[in-house]
Amino acid sequence: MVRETATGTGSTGDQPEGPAAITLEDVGYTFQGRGRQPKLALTGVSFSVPRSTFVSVVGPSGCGKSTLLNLVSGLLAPTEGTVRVHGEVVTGIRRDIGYMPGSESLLPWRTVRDNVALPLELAGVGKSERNARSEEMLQAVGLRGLGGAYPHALSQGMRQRVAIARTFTVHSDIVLMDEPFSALDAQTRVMVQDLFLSIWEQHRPTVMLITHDVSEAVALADKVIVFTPSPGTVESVRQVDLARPRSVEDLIFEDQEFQGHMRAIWNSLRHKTKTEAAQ
Amino acid sequence: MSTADVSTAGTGLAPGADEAARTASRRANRSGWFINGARVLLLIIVWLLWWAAAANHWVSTLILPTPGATWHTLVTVSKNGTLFSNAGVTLEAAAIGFVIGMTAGVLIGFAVGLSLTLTGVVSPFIVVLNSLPRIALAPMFVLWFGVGNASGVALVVSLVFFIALTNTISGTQSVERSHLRLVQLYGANRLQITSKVVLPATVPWIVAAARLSLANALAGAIVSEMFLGQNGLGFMIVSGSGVFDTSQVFAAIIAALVIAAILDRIGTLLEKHLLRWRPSEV
Repeated sequence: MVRETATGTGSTGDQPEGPAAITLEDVGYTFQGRGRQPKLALTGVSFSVPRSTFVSVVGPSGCGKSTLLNLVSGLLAPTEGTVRVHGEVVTGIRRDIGYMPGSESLLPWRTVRDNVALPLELAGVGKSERNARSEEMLQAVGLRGLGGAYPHALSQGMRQRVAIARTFTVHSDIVLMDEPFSALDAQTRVMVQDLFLSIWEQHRPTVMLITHDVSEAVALADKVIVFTPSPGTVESVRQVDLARPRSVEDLIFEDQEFQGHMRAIWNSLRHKTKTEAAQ
Repeated sequence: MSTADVSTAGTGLAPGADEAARTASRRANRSGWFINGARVLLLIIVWLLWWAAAANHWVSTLILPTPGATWHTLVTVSKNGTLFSNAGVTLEAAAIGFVIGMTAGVLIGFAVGLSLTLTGVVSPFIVVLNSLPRIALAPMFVLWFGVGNASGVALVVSLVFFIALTNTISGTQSVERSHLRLVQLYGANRLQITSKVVLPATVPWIVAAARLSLANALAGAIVSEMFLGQNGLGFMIVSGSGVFDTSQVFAAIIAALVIAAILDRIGTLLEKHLLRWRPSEV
């Protein structure tokens, strides 16, 4: 792995020059179901993600979080407003964006090595280079020597580590994550999250993490964006200035500040769901 | 028919589950000995009953030949080569029909399955055609394709083609959405989506179709030979029963059984190789 330590990112306060990595301006999305009522999924969503920051988006299920991710990736085009990546309006799928989905995203007919190399293969990188990169990444996630195995032979936690390796085989400036750790049991999740953070620290791509797990959102991110129930829009934004590098385990069990953030976000989510229920 | 349950390949295996799976496979291995032994015992019992029925004249030898007579005929037709030449004719028709039917079924299956519109248009016709009893159409095939191997091949194709077609269409449409989304987000074009996700995801369905088709191909070839065939195992059966030579009938049936068992074994080995990425069933 190329170890270019990102200098100058030691203090969490400074912001890199240039346009933000991701910018949403008054974005809305309406699903046009054939023969069904159009459904408003997102409305008036505005926020920006500066380069090399880690942002979590939390919200109740069905609030359009995954739609948001599809909009940023270019898989869907917004029905209102604009989505920009590095200042350019998103018009289609961008190859420079990495993606880490939730559970069971490995292709079962591919070996672990070929799964990790998939993004490179789709980008037309030659086989020997693919394999070399793949082995490097497998070593980085602690799965050296398992390249020839098929996913079914691995535990859930190991499979998510393979997915992490795959996410970082291409040095994307931006990584989108959709509930990537939700299928793991509590202990494995913390281990895999710490592994993810340690690899992320090496290059610090911009990350947008979609999750419904508040502790995950706070533990990993610099900024937590709370969404309202459907139709989703930004309810509040909370800056999380916990020092990096972080240990998720230590945060969860020992950190007062972490718990303060969690409580605040928890309350704003709970408040929203209550008002919904009352209506 | 669609035995391949593609969607659940590899559900959550916790670390402890590996150990559990190993224990289960050890247990399966031990009971494997018992099952194999019981199978041999079953064969012996059937053979004894057969022998007893013939020897005690419970059934006329015109209906049921003795094991000895069957064995004698088997040896004779093996020595003079008629068994092998007839089995060869049957196998040839089955093989040619299998290859044509599978190739056409898979290719057309992909062409149809990759387009939802096309699937919508043709699927009712496929269902109706597939429910036609093609074995019953065997005499028609003889009329259409003449007395000889061509009609046998045609019947086999008509059986194999629809199995391959329906399974391939189902396979292309059973692809996991999350897999499609993944490669799309990594910028895959249409060709890459098809070759890297849809094709491999359909392989288990095609393998299942091939397994089912092997048995159907053999049966189709034999049945076709029974109508106006001039050689083949089906012809042996019909000509034997025509002159009350039941031992010849039994010899041909035993030959067909052996061929079917060998084909099935080959199918199992191929399946194990092609689907080695799937968790092995305990």
